[in-house]
Amino acid sequence: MQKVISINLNGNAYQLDESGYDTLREYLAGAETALGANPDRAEIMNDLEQAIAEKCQRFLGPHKSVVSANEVDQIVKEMGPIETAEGDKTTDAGEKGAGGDEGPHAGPRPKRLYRNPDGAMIAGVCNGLASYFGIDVTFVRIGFVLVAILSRGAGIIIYVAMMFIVPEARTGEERAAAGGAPFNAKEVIERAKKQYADGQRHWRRQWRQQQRQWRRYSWTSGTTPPPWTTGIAPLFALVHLALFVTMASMMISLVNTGGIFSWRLPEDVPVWAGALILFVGYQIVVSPIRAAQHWSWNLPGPGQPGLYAFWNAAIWLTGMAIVVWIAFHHIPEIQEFIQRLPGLAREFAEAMRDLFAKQR
Amino acid sequence: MGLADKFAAIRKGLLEFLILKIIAADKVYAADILKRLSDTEFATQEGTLYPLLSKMRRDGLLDYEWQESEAGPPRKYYELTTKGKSQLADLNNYWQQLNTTITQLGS
Repeated sequence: MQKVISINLNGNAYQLDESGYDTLREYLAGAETALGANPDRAEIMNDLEQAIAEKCQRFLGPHKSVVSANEVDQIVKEMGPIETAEGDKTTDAGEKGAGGDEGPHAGPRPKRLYRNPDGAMIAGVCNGLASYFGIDVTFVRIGFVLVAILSRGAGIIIYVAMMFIVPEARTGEERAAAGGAPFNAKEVIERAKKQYADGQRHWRRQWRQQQRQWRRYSWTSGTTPPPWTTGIAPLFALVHLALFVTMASMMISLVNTGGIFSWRLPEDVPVWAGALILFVGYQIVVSPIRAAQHWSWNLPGPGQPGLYAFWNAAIWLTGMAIVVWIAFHHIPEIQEFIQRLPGLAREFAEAMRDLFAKQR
Repeated sequence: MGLADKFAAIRKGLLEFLILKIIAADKVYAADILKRLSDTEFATQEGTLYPLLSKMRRDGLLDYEWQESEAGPPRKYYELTTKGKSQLADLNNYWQQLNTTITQLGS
């Protein structure tokens, strides 16, 4: 009996025997090393993955969903070793550093802004901006949160707007272009106008696509789970719960007193903005834990994946039940919190209305 | 050492020329190129072809565009640039020249 491992080849999922997976991973790692400083390395890797995917397809049918180790061996043999074309070395030397991805004679490849779904937290906006400006994505994320705070929440609207306006990098070509030449603001505005003209149907379609993306990325991560996640899903659930309780108590304190415990919000930041920021911050902190939880559920191995999901849900439900029970009987703040929520929502709605009125 | 081995370096050197010829005849995607070559002395594998295609594109000899396929993700279809076409003509001439030289030397 062999373990089966799901892999993601250029956006499509395939299932391989464990030893087949090792063979393929070795081949791809070898290819990446062989390509070394080749300026088109990422693109060639995409092409290779695509070719492997097409070969896998050949072995699959309605009654066969797993590519066996022998078949992977055959595929790898057909692909052959990576031979970097001669003369590449000399052209490489003539090219400018890591940023220069165009050969001396190639037509200029325009750098464009894309959303990059690989390793995205929400929709890949920050990720895309990071590769566009060539900076670390963490800085972009921190920047976005700061902007969201300073602009009293308008940063979040900017994010949502970019989610719809900026196209997602789907093909290798687009991903390459996501890191490529000067940013053309006019183009972005044109695109926004055009999409607006295309009407609501387009937006709804985008939204559905986005939801599908989220589901896909959170449930079938293309990588294998790290071995240390085996069996410790309940631990993740506990950490997750602890973080949630912390967030919830901060939220209650914020809504009821206009500050988090003894720290007070600055005068000019409304409570609803504080609540939004707190929520977004919580999502960012908790997302790696959530990812780890998904990993440990997906892990093929001893015990059914469903068992992890069960434990996770059980701990969550028990914890929540206890918290809510205690809250109801001992904490008057909870009641106050719930009473204050409608008012908060009204303030938020008014602020949004003002914001749009001002822009007009 | 077989005959094929003696000419291994030459075959490798000619590959670029042949790819130009194939692409000049028809708009093709990578698997088509491999198929055209598979039954010849120039049978090639993906591991060799992809880096070569990307190098030729960087040299400005060819370009590609994405086209949807009925099954699976879009494919890259290659075509020659003007530079690629003139390169192909030059290579053709040179090849004729080599042929003439080789035939004449023995006689």
